[in-house]
Amino acid sequence: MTGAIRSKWNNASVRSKMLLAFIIPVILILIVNVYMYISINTMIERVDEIYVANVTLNDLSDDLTFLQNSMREYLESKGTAALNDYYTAEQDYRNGLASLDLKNSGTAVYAMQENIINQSENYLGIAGDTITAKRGRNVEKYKASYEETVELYSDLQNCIYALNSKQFKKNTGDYSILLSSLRNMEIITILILVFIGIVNIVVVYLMTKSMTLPLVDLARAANEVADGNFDVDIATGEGKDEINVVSKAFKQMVESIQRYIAQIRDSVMRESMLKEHELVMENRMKEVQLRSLQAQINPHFLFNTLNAGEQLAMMEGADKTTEFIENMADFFRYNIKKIDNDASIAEEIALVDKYVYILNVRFTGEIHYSKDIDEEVTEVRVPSMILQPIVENAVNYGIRDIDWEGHIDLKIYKDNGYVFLSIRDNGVGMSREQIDRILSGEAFGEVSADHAASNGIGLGNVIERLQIFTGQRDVMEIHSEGEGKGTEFVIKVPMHV
Amino acid sequence: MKKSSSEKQFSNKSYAFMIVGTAIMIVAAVVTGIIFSTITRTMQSVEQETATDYDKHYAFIAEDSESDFWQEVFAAANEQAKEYNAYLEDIGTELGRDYSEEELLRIAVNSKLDGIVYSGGSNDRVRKLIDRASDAGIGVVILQNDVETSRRQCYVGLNYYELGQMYALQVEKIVAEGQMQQTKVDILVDGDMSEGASNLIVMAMEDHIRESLGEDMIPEIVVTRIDAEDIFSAEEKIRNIFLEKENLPNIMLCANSVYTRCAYQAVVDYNLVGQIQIVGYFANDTILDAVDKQVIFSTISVDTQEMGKSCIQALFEYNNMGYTNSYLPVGIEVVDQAKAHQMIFEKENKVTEQ
Repeated sequence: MTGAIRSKWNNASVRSKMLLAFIIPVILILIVNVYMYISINTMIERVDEIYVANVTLNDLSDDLTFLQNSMREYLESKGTAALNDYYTAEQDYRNGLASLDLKNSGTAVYAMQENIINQSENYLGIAGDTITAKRGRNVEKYKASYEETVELYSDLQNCIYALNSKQFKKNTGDYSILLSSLRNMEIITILILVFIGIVNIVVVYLMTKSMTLPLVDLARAANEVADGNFDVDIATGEGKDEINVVSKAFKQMVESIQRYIAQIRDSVMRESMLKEHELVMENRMKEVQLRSLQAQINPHFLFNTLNAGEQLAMMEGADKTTEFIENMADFFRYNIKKIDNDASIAEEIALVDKYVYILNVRFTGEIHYSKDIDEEVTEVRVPSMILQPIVENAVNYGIRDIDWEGHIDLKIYKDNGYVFLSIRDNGVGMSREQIDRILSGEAFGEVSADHAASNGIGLGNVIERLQIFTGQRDVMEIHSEGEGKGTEFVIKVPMHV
Repeated sequence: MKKSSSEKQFSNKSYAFMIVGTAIMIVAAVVTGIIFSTITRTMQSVEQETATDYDKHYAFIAEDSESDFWQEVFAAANEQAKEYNAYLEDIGTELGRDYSEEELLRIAVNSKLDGIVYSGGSNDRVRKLIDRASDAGIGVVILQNDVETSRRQCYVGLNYYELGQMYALQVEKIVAEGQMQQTKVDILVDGDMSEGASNLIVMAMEDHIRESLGEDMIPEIVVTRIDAEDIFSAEEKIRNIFLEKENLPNIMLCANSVYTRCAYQAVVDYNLVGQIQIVGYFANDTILDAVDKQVIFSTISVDTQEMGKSCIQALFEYNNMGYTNSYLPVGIEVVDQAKAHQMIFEKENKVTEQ
């Protein structure tokens, strides 16, 4: 039963619950009060009734006295007024007799009332005879009759008095019983009202508690959520009342917020991981550079040695040797100075010139090098050491092993806000796969692997640095029309970085 | 997720208490209603508790109706009246002043009752009233002392001859036991008792003693009439007998319970126990105790039950049939020491049982 009532209670709306919580106690207390009111009213009515009988008997006694007196007066004076008084008194007395309460036969009171009525009839009869005798001037008869009425009058008065005191005694008894009953009822009423009141308080407390508990819980949860603790326990019962609905909605809301927070956290983590990855890449690149630099012969020593060689050649008057060693020295100086900084395109071109000169000395002028430079862009800044490695690559892989005359053409021009640096050779050329491997970075390792043969900086390194420098992915294009048709490397740098 | 806290706090117990609490309140309200209506109903029935409709209304008039003797008679009569669905009114008890039996009779007659049980004086006015009652169809039954020559319907009382014989028997016993030389017997009778009745007692005594002991043994028998003019006169008159020392009787025969008590008290007060033997009348506790202690020699017990019943039966018969027996005797018996002892024992047993 508890379960059924419980589920009904849970499913009831808050308004219904509150109505119930107020109506039940109010109705119960009302019922008790109504009982009390009706019962006490009945009692009070009975208290009122109690002495009515005494009042009636007193009136009856008075009427009888008046009747006797008016008869006597008539007998004395034979006056019309006295006769009228007599008749009035007789009527009053008869009315009084009729009003005697003859309902409880079998009691002493009833018996006494009956006696009074019967004696009164006797008395009234004789009184009537007396009056008639007086009118008929029958002196002897009315005297005798009058004596008789006096006797009867006295008996009657005594009987009325006796009945009156008997009634009074009984009424007093009734009255005290009534009073004690009233007092008992008062005590019972107070006890029951106190009892119902106490039970009521407990029941109303429980009812309101059952209503407000989820609300209190909800408030606590809301406070916790407000303090930022989303991992909060929100009570939701089985009920369908408004508070429960709100609780459920709040719970869903908190859960949704928790889900969103988790999602955001995930994406932030993913992003930071990406960033971390990128940093790792950069570091690795730097590491590569560093290692490549360390791998080189201490350039200062080399540079100083070359300077010494140059002076030596100058002293010996070997001009070509002097120029060669000077170019070598400049080349390495640039390498030492510029590797960590950017440089102007003009400086890069100068480095390429020196490099090609050194190579042509080395390979006895096999390399035909031409330049087509837009002078407007020579001051544009680019990462240092980007042209020389490409030229080196063009020499080593493009034109070194060809049968025909090798050409390297450097062309620098601007177009649409970009500076294009093109190094074209007429060497063995490249297949599409090779180009893609270089551009996607897969060939970096390869380049690095044999960078012992070069000055140490591979194409991959160049591309990476260009990408970091420009912030763009698309920094280099490689064109080759196939085997034996040469290769063109085009570097694309924005005019203003 | 753990079970929600409020669910846990608001357990089945709390729900059960809510339901039980509400039920208790409803029960309390209903109980209040029942208690209140019971109290109200009890109040209404207070008046009606003795109310039973009756067919006949009789009056009971007795001299000294407060005495044990008349109380017993009235109780028996009342019992009988209830059986006949009649109401027996002890008329006069409620009246403000003490009315004489004659006045009470007048009120009863004027009240046009169905019947009157009368025990009291007999004079012309009483006779007239009885006749008037008879004319009005009111049955009148006389108890104890008959109102001779009246038109009463019935007389319920002792057979005075029988009483005389019993007295004689007691006198013989006293004489035999005390071996008295000179015997003087004083019979204390009611002033209302007719001359005839007292003469009958004396005659019966003389007859009995003559027969059993012979003419010579008949003692001197005096009849003292106690005129109960007022309530204390009986006691005074009996004391007067004791004050006249030379005329003291040896044996006092009391024809009334009040005289018995007075005589008994006087014998004790004047230190005459053993010298004056008393034969009492009626057997209440005091008299029985005195008989047991032999302060009173013996007592004549009147069957009050029979007396009370008979008078109502006579009235009822008269009301229904128009006639009734004109005389109904009441049984009497002697209670001597042995019998008194037994009666006291029986009474005590009855009390213990109750």
